[in-house]
Amino acid sequence: MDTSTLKGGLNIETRASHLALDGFLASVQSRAFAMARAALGNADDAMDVVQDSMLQLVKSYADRDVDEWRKLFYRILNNKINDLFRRRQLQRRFGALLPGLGHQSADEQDTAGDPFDKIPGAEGDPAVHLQRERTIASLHQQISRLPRRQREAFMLRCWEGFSTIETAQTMACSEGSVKTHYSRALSALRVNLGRLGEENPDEN
Amino acid sequence: MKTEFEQGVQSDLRHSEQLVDAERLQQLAAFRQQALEAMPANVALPRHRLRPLLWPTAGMALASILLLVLALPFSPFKPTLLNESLSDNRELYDDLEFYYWLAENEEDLRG
Repeated sequence: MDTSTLKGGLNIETRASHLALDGFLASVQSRAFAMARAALGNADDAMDVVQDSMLQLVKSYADRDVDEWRKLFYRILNNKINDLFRRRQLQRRFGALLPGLGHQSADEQDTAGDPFDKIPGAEGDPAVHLQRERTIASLHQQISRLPRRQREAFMLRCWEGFSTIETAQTMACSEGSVKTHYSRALSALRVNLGRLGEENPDEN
Repeated sequence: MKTEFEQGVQSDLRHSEQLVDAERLQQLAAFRQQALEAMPANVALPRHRLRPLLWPTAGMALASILLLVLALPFSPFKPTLLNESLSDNRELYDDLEFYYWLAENEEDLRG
C-alpha cells in the first residue's frame, strides 16, 4: 500500500498544502476584506476583490513557500484593487460621454452611509463604540483618497505591519520609495484627519 | 518604532476587521473553499522546500568527499579522526539518498 496516498486520492503532501493554504487564507480574509473596503469604499466590490485574490493565490502560487504567501497575497490584492480603480475611471470617463453609464459608480462610496456591518449586541459603552466607528469610517474614507502607491505603502506598513523590506518586496520597489510613500501617506492622513476633527469638533 | 499616531491608526484599522458581520464571514469562508477546490492537483510543499536544499547539500557532500580522497595519503590525522569524518559524510550521503528518494517518489506519484 502506498502510504503517501490518502483516501480520496490526495497524497499527504497535497493534503498538507491544502490545510496550510486554508489556514493562511482564514488568517488574512477579514483583514483583506477590510483593506479592500477601505480602499474601494464599497463592501461588494471588496468581496469580489478578495475572492479573486484568493483564487489567484491558490491557482498560481500554492506551491510557493509558506513564508511567501503573505507577500504574494497582498501584492495580488493590491493589483486587484488597482484594476478596479482603473475600471471605475474608465466608467466615469465614458459615463461622462454617454449618460447612463456613469451612474454605475454612484454607490461606490458607501463608506460614509454604511461604513460597517454592525455587530449585534456589541459590548462596551455605545457612545465610545459609535465614536470609534466614526473614526474608522473617516480613516477608511481618507485611505481611499490617498494616491495609489501611498495607499499601498500605508496599508502594508501600518495596517498589516510589514517591515520596510517586506513592503518593498510586496510593492516591487525600493525601500527608499516605500519610506517616501509611507511618510507622505502618514502626513496626508494626519492633516486630513486633523482637519476633519476641526470641522466636526463634536465628533471628537 | 511606531509613533503614537501610527499605533492609534493601526489599532482602529485592526478593530475594523472585527466589525465584519456573520453573513460576510460565511461568504468569505465559501470563497476560501472555492479557491481551495481550484488548487492544482499534486501541489506539494515539501518538494518545493526540498529543491533549494538538494543541490547545495549534494555539492557540499561531493566537495567534502573529493577533499578527503585527495588529502587522505597526506593526512596527519589519526585514523580514528578520519573514520569520524567519513562517518559524518556517510550521514550526509544517507540524507542525500533520502532526498533523492523523496523527490523521485514524488515524481512517480505525479506521473
